[in-house]
Amino acid sequence: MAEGMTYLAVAYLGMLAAIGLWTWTVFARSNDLEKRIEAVERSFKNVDSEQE
Amino acid sequence: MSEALLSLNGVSVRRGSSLVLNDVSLEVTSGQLVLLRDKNGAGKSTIIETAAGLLPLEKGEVLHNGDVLIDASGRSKRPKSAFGLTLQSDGCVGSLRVEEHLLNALDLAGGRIDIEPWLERYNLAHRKHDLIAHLSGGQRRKLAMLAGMLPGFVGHAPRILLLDEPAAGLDSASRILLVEDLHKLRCRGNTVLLASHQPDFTTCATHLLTGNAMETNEDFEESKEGKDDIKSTSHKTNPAFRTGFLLNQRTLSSVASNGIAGFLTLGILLALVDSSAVDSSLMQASGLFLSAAFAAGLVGDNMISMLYEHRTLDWWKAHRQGIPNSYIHGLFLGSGLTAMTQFGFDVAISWPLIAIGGLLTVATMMMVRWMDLATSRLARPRAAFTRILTPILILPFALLVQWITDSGLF
Amino acid sequence: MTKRLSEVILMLGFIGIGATLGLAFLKAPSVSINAFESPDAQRIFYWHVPAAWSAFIAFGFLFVGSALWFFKRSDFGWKMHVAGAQAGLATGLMTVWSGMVWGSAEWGVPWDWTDVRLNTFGLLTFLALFLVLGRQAQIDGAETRDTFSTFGLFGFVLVPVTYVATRLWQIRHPGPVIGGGESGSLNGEMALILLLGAISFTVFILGHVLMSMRITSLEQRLERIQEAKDEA
Repeated sequence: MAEGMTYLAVAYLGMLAAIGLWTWTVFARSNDLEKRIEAVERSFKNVDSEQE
Repeated sequence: MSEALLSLNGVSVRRGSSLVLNDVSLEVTSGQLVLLRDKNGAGKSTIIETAAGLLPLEKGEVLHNGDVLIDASGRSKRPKSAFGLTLQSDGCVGSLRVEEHLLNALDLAGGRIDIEPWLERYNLAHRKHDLIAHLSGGQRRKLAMLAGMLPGFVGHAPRILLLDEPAAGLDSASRILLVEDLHKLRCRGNTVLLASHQPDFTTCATHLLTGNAMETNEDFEESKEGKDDIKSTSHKTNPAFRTGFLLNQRTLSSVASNGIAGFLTLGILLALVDSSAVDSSLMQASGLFLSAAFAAGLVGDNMISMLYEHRTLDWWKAHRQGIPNSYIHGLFLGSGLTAMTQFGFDVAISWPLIAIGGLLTVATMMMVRWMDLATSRLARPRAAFTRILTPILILPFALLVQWITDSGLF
Repeated sequence: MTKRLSEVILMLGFIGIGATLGLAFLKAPSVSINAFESPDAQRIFYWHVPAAWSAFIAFGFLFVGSALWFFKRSDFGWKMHVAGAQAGLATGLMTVWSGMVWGSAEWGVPWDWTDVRLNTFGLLTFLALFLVLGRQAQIDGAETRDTFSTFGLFGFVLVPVTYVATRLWQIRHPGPVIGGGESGSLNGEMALILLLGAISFTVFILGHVLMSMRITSLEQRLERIQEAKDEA
């Protein structure tokens, strides 16, 4: 009985960790893209202000 | 005004994320030679490939002889009259011989002319029986150019000829000959769309296309030569089937790819399965005997990856008369593997099962080939991982085995 | 605003899934020992069924998105296709994996080649894997979108087949839990936890779809800015 529950607990926790990891990568990708867009836009502004 | 042989009606084409052609309209009638002479990257090749129906259209339609070849909804039809095509990449596979490629181009147009004088004219006669792989870059270009041009001499009805940089890498003597030949093609009533940045063609072009605007060429000089007397004969054959068979015979690619997978499967089965278990009711023996044939089919048709060389696949696709395949070799391979498996397990040979094995390899090969062809339009078709989808074929295989067992065929 | 909303939805769904699993462990009643080979493993279905349900939703997004791109050339549809493929891969893997855990405990084998629903679900997951990996390797453009949306449409034919297949070919797999007639009925507490699971998974997958669509928008925006910089 206990053995079955352990087996199940491992399976459940493994899957929970997997979807947690997936969710974290989605958040990380979103933040990374925002930072990259910000950086490129900033470099654009710098070029504009230098030209002025 | 005579009816246009080639029409592009409000065509927009996107390549990657950029709109390369935007609402381009073009009408070319019999006897006109239109020179596309924009600078590099302006979309010359895109117009040629669009006119050949190779690119998906975002808007508009392409007509050949007044019939739709391709439109924005993805509808695509084989043209009534085959056209000549020279792509910027040569469109010929290295394992074919020079003569064979030219005969393919002619057979696709439904007739034959004597190719010997043409090979002589462009100094390729001594290479007639050589593999294309053995040619230099310039010689291969001449061959690609001839393959696009010669269909214009087949029959009496005018054809569309689409030539993308036919003179790239050609020596000046060959370029002079090409200008003469273009005059001849035009005088026969053919419609020629020619993309080139070289100045040699300004005298033979009746019209110039710059950007979206077509104008009459003021530098055009009428040819002094009269009409040619080239004779052609009608020739009905299936060049795609013949080429597939030839390439397989020459390269043994089916044996090397599909065969190896089948032989490995057979070897593993012989090593792991006890032949006494075959007679027991614990397993469906027909499944065991068909496994090697199934594994061979799962590899797909190696012909497709062979035809990626110099965009040969696109050249065949544009003609819409079939693409070379390995079905005949697959049939024999599957039958042979099924027979060998039965022999290996020391059971009485079942001829129906051997026939099913051959058909199984071909059917599986066809399905995988379809997946490969469906992704061939991608910018990086080899990075499309179509093999991930092959498990889809396991279920039909299992049902086939079940049917054989239930029907008592084996 | 969209970002915050999708993040909140995603987190709510994740918390809900955690709560469902906690309840499945601690609160859900045990089933009769005689009814199952492995009664404990039966608790996996609090994960398996909602995961399968959310996979159907994800593949629904994939189909609608593919159709919108293929027939209407809708950029919104393409974003939906991308999000549906990713969500379909994740939920498909969850369903197949949890099914295998249950199968190995109950049937003694993790996979049954004769079960059509199991196989078609596996195939849908393979299709999602193909779409996700394939798209990542390609340059975004009309050819890429046309090709992958064709496969998206083709794959969706497998969804109704998967559902109907159990009724036609049922060998080992239990019948459909939702709308499956009397044999599929559950006791009250079990149904409540299962309902919580289904809602949580739905919210979670909606959050992921929204986030993914936003990420595709950001990728497109970055590409546009970079192209403008190339030309400058």
